[in-house]
Amino acid sequence: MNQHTIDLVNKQGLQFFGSVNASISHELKNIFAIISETAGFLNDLTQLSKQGKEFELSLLENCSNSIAEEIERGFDTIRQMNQFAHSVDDPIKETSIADTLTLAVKLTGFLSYTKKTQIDASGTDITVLTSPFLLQNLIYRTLCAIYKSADTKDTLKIFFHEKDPDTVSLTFSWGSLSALTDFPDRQTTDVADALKATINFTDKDLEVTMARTNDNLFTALAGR
Amino acid sequence: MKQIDILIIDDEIKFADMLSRRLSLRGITCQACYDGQSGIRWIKENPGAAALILLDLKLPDMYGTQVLAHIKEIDPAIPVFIITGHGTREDEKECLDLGAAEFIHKPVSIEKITTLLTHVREEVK
Repeated sequence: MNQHTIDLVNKQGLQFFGSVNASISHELKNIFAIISETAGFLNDLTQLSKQGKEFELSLLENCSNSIAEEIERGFDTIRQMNQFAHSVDDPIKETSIADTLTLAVKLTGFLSYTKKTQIDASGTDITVLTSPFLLQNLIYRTLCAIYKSADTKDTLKIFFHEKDPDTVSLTFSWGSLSALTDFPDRQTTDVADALKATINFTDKDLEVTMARTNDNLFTALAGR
Repeated sequence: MKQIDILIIDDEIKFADMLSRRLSLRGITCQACYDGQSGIRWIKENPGAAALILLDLKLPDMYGTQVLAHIKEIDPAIPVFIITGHGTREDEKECLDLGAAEFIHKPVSIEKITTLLTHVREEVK
């Protein structure tokens, strides 16, 4: 169990880290592409002005607003990148389910197929003594599988709560999850096993339940 | 049928709209579609109407290679240029194998696009 868990973090974790960073770099490239085109348009307007041609001043205002919005989007993206990067700082720590879910939703938002999805997340925040990085990995994989399987016009409802003093639960509800036939895949099952989590689903609900403490993981990752 | 110079299929609405606006200042007519299905629908409804297509690889409803395959089924002759912020070498090879004219990484200069259009127009003559 211990060596397997360490291998899981090292190999699969690195893949996960790489794929999230690739989606972040894609987001940043798109932001820069918009700023680049907007700067180009401002240059076009300058040339028109030099030629004595008139244009609506609102175009300038629109450009400056657009650049400011994209810069804010860029800062927001970098904040999430930074938060994700720090998820490997502590192998095991008290981890907020709400914070982890919020970050996972934002990180999956960089994937092109999630952009039209509305998400409604609610619940009572609870903490689990676990690997923040593996928990992020499990929630991210779950969200990706749901997005890929269902109609993106639906609103995804996520509810998290303390199921009993030793267990927490996250329920993902969508119009239909019947297309989610090959989930959990092997990699997700490995992550869930390491976290002492189980995944059960019906046509409309997918529930992830997890132990609030995990001695095996604690021993494997924290070496205690 | 609506004749245009460039069909832009890109889910980054601001990017597609700003690019269209800049090209229109240069006398180039554009149509923007923000997902794969609407791009394919436009091509079906306007056969042969666009001189070239700029296609993003990552779209909300379909992967760009799927869109490319559909486009090539509908109109094998239309030049499709992939413009992406995320493409790998494998993506590039797959797109070229599917018949893409070129694989271009964002950001792309306006001069590059006007040159592409000029070359396409010259090849048609």
